[in-house]
Amino acid sequence: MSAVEAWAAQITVEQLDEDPYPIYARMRREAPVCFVPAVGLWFVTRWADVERATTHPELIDSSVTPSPLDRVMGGPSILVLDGPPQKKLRAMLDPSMRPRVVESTSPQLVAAIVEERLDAIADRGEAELMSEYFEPVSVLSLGSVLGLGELDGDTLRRWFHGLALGAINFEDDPARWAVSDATGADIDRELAPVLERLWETPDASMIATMLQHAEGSFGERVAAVLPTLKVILLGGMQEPGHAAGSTVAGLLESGQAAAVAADPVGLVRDAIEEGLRWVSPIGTQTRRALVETELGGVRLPVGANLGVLVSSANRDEEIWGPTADAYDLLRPRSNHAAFGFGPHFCSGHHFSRVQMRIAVQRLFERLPSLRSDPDRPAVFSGWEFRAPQHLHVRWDA
Amino acid sequence: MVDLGSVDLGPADLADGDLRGATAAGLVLVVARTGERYVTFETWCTHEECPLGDGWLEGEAIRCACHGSLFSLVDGAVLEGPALDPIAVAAASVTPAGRVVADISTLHA
Repeated sequence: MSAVEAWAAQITVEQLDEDPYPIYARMRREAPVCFVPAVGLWFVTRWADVERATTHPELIDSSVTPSPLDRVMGGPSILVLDGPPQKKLRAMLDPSMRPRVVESTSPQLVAAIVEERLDAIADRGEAELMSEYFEPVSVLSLGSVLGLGELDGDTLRRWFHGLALGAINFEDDPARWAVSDATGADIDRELAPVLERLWETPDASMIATMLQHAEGSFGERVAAVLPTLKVILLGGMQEPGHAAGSTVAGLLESGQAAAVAADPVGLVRDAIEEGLRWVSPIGTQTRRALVETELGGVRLPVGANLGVLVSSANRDEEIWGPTADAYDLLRPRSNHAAFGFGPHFCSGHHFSRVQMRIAVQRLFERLPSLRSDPDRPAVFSGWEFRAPQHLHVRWDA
Repeated sequence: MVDLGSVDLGPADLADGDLRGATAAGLVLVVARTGERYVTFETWCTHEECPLGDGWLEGEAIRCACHGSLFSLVDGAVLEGPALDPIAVAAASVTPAGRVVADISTLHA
């Protein structure tokens, strides 16, 4: 066993959760494709290899076995399918997520939710932004687009956190399974009447569109749609809220918040794209080697399960230079990997960006003196999914 | 002055941030104005060949209406996926007679 293999064998889930970036940096330098026994995955860390692993489904596909995703989602979802079955599911989702559709309806919807949330905290002079602002805005915005407008934000946030616990359970922790299994059952029970109503009386919501584009009896359509619907509940509620939180944490930590407060409209897009790059909320995509294949100088055996780290690609010094680890509002805009590459590129990326843009812009417009709470600094956690666990801020009320 | 190889892409009547279609030398093109700059590029998105002419400008970039890729109109680079490959962009100029002209030989590459 080489020195770097011995080091990788000692990596723990706790270390990854606390801060995976120094680990990824050493791998990019010394072992860019590296097996990590603690999670049973080959980590793919460099930009070029991440792009290759996600754009050659004839060599490396999404059918990871065993995958925590199948258990959490209650069946094969869009995340673990390739080829025609995946395209069929994309065809159900994409009509609701086309940029022009999103731009025509979502800004008003998101803005109303944002204003209500800001009204609730504006006079207080302090808040914990993740639980009081970004996560509620994210879940309520997506819930409304999905057709789940009658569900409250706390229920949607509970679902989101329950699904997340299972989706990242590569270490097979029974406590995590207990929570995510219960969440899955809860979602099935709560959504059953909603699906029935949207099938019998379709509206313009995403769930109604998905049911109409599916095939077979109502039961067959529900079986086809439900696992992917849970993926959307998880990822779609996570990406915008958590990336917006990381963006604000990056702005505050780097001393660049005042610049955005002075010109929110002009700088918000650069701010959120850098936030998505700096701490990618969905940092890991899982893949499987379909055939024996070479990646990053390593010959992967058939069936090797990969953790393709878009979060590491987004810190690759070869692409982003020596300041890759820093949040930099002035970094020239360039395509990042936060939404993936290839056939599994996030269908909802534009909707996510609209949400983030409005949430961050209006936050700085209404609370221009926003600053970190010096007594409670932001703490990030997670490697598959990463975001501030708390983001306590103050402002002049 | 009109360069050798330049083609006429119609009147210079676009407002800032507007775009329109044009055809020249067998290519289906988009002509766009950002600030005082005119540029032209082939309409086909490098992702799934949706027409970029159906999209819209965001500052100095073009958004594909199909899947949301964003391309720089300064150098054609992908600013937001899902596209992986850049587009070719040719700078255009305005003649004293108010016509948009461009050397589109680089778009044939």
